[in-house]
Amino acid sequence: MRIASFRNHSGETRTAVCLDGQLLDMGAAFERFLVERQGCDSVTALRIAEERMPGSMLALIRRGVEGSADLRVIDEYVRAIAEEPAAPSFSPSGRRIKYALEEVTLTAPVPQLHGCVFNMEYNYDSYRTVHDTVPPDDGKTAMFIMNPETIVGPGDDILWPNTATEVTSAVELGVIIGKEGKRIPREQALDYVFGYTIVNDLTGMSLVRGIGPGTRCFPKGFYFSRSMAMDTFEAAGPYVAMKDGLPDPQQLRAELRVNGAVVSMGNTADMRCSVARLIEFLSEDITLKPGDLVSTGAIGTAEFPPEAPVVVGDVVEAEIEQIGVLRNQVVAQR
Amino acid sequence: MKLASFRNHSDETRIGVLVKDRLVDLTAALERYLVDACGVSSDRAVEVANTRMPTSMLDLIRREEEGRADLDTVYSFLRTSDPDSLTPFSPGGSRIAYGLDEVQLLTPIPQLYRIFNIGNNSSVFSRTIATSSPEENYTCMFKKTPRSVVGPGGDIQWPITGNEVVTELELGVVIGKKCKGVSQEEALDCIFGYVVTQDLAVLDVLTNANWGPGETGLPATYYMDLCKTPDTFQPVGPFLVTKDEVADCQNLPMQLRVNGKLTIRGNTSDMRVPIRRQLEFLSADMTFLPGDLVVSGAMGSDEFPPIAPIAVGDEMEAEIEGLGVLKNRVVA
Repeated sequence: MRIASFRNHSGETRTAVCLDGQLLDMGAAFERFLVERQGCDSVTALRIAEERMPGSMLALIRRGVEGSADLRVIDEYVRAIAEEPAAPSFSPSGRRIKYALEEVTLTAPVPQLHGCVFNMEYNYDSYRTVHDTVPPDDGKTAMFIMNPETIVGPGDDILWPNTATEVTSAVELGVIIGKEGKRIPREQALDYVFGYTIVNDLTGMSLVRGIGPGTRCFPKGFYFSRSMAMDTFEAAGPYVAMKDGLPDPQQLRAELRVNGAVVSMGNTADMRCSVARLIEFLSEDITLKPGDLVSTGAIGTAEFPPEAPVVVGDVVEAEIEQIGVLRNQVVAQR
Repeated sequence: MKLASFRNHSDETRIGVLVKDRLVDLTAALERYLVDACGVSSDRAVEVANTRMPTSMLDLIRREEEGRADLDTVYSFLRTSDPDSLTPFSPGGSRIAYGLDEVQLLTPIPQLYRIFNIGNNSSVFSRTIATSSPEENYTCMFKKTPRSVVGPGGDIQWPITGNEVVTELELGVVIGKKCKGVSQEEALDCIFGYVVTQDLAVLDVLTNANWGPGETGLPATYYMDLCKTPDTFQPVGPFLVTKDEVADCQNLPMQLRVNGKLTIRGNTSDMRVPIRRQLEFLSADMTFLPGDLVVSGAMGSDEFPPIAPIAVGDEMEAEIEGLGVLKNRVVA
């Protein structure tokens, strides 16, 4: 099942199921479901739908196990509605249910995020083709905290920065946490996942290159965090692939294309630390909460390395199988 | 003004201001002001006060200039009328004034979720840690999570990922307005106020890392954010002091006492990169939002160095002139 956040014609941000090039507003569909299949009156249906199938993705994720159960119900129901004749259907309260994808704007999957965004780096051995550096310890990888506001959605502009002269882009598997936990053992880790999405992680690489010799810390190593924290330097989306439909995140092919040409390519099978291990590793001293996003590392191979350079004008497509394609364009700042 | 967030006797999170030695509930005080001084009806006063003086400190700061104006109005009202002479309850039924010991102070911005930490910002720091220096006029930034924050009196939890914990004493700068591309001249205008902070780290997560030789990078910087972000590793508080009370943020003496013993002593005058330059380079490509916390760098001296080891059971008192004393205890 794939779900997404989108902006409707009234400018509201809503949650939807994605099916065959259509978006079905989940709250609106749930209203209709309650009236048609459960005999609710329309006023009650509206109230219940707003509570159980909220327009906020974060509120939905926080509903935990009950939310997942309702999602399964709605998944079945919308498949039936999606097959109805062409006219867009409406909920009992007059909210539109069905949209063609082109009619609305998808946003980043968790737009109301105020929690944590963890960017894991050096999680594929192919990073060695880009950075001549010793590896992280076994079972560990680099981690950077990002501001949620750095994140943009599908189709949004990536702004060329003021303080960097080289920018790179990387495709990463994003993991959205569904349940609060700390000291999560890796055997249980995937129970804490809500779903998966695609992340395009950008870096102001000129701030990071040219690290000189040193004994404990290099000057350019100091600027890693800032080089990634620039406005618009992380795109997420287009959908959340629910965990049930993606039981094994460790065998997904991924590709990054710049202006149609493949520049990076790889498979999540090559993660040094698996998704489960990353959750275990992060949660040792940090509480993970529903809605947190873990971006699991720049994907690449020796032949198609991670972290490809991009310039103003480039159209970048990050694709991961079973999830979709996240497309953004690099533009000059006005 | 010294502002605070606190939990009242109904367990609600409220915002307050220190007036003499009383903590005054700002929202309740604004209700009282609207009725007493403006002749507004009680119901209307409650409604207006909840919008103009929200009980979320972050939401108040987000009101930018209008929020500051309302704060000034309420504060003047409270200074001219002794809080204890006001009717104890607001039109909405909230208590107005408390003794500081009657309520639980929370971290000043409980809703804080964006934190920018400046590192390696004094020559004594470079000497203490024996690291190469960042370029002139720049320094490193790393970040903490919202769950790193702990308030006055809150316990610091010993981590499981390492055995050596260190702390640093730093001036926290709270941003007051949305801004980007800020120049050094404009920088101080973007500040809402200041707060005492400590910056803790699990040191052996860095020192035990596979250093190895290398020309271009070392593993330990891989774990910088990780070693700094265990839950509770950023005490912030006790008050958020508005900037008008701080004449010169680059001349503030500070000290950390551990179990009563002076352990760190420094002054913000030692900053290699001053706050106005920090805000300039940080905002060059990143938009600051109201309520953001910039933790401006560990200060210290050769005699009382900027990084101090701590252990379970330690009681820490972090003090910066004019900002109050932040007390925390380290627990297992």
